[in-house]
Amino acid sequence: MRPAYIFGENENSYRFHADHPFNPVRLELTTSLLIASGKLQASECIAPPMASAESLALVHDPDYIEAVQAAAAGELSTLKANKFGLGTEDTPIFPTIHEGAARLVGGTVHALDLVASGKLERAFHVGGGLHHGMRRKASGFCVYNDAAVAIAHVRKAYGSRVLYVDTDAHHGDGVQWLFYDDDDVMTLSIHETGRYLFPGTGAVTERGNGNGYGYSWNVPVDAFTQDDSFLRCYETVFREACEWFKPDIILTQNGADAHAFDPLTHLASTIRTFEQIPQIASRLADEYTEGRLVALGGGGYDWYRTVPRAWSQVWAGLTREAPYNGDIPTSWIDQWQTKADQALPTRWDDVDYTFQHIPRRQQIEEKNWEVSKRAFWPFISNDRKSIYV
Amino acid sequence: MLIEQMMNRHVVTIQPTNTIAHAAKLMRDHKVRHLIVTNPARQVVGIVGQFEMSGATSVFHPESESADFKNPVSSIMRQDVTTAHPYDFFEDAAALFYEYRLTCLPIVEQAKLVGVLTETDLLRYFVQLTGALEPSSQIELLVENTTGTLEKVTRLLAKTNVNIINVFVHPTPDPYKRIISFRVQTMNPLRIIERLKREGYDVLGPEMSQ
Repeated sequence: MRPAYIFGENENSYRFHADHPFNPVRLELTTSLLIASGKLQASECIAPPMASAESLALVHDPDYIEAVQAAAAGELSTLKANKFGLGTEDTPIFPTIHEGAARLVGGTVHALDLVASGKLERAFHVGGGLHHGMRRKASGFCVYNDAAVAIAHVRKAYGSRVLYVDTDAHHGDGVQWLFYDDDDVMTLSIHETGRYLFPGTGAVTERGNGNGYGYSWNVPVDAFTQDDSFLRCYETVFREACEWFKPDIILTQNGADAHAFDPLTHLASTIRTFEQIPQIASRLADEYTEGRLVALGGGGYDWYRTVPRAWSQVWAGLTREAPYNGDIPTSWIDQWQTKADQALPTRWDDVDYTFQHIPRRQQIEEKNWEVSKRAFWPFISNDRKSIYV
Repeated sequence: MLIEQMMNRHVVTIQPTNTIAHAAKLMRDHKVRHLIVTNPARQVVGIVGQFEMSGATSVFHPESESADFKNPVSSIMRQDVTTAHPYDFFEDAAALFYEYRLTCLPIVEQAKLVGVLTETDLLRYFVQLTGALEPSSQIELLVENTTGTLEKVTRLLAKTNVNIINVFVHPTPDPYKRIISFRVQTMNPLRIIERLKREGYDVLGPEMSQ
């Protein structure tokens, strides 16, 4: 069964302005790369519907939704806008702010619904993954929290237990806080430590509250973390989360900002990390959820070199293909080169690029591994503990 | 901040005549590491912590353990208790913890116990102070320790239209230098960092080498 590919030009309606790092051109770049590579037919793209206010209200407060609508109409006072995190440099107000944000939610709800209802085994909503959206506050480029709304929707409609796995370089705080007390939704976020980076949370000690204790896991990795360390931590903790939580569905957020080229973060991955993240997710879904897997996009601010390749590899994982390799189709390069501010990549891998040597590498790897173990240690059986001693 | 505003008003207390077994049960049930020992007038007469509890029995005499547990709390409690007043400043309380290596500070007003402050309360307040609980990025500057520096920097930040959640000024080993660290409410501090660098500021970030 082919996974669903959810993307439509109508998602361009979530666009702050030309200089804003979060730009829908990333979705077009990815989709056109997959089509040019013969991995996707244009006719397969499903344009996302807009989420209803009722659906948004599964996690957002009605007065916040009304405020976003008022902002779109230009009728929100500065004072109120500030209260809701709107009209800031991160989330400036634009005429289609409600429509655009609600459409991104609609795409993710549709993707997760297709899988939770049993219609499809897998789906990809490349425009989703706005993980910083809070109950009543816009934050970190995110207005509505598509993943959280979709999870709340399938909880209500099918009772599905969802494991949310977030590999964006920023902590998946919005999704975490929205389900912090819930033991039927588990969140796992691996991200750069909050020492300097937004949002500053995501410490290993944030484990959930009340009934939800043990169902929020965090792995903050050090600045300048490289491929081997990132992948080792990710795969190990992801597997332990599956063992502990026994999910019905896995939902992944595939922010592509852990790459060394990303301007906003300080991690030092290469494209290899992004080839492997979806392969590992696919294998674990086959092992633990009978294949059920939904993937979302997310952050990623090196629009041209990194993001299109990283997100295309998500499709490779979902379709159970090996990571795409070799040359990037010249037709895609010709299509985009004039718009790009850098030379587009000519290969799927990163061999043409040179990366900085990280003198602290060994120290960073050791620290990351210790933190990873601390994330799952209280929740695994003694048998499994023996694996790590 | 006054202690009154951050102290815990629900204090788990015990009478000096109660048994050690009762003390152990109270600590377990209420998940606390200290019990304040009070007399019927609610005056603080002692304190029992895990340290005192662990001295209540001897591993060399396991046979007398059940008898030991029947002894009164007064037989093991610490009697020289450091206390503070609700109107004391948070900074003074913190200094007491540091100076006397306290883990728990009973708060006394007109000779009666009215609250308690523990290490955990201090830490929670400290975390709040750092602003780390609100989504934000951290920007740190190494600056000269002179009048007007903070004013210049904040003026510059105001021009970038970013909300400052928190400011800390840290000492450094060099008495002529300070580190100012800001928590700013944005996911994209790049433009601010570039601007600060353009103006000649030394912006700190993650270190690639040791």
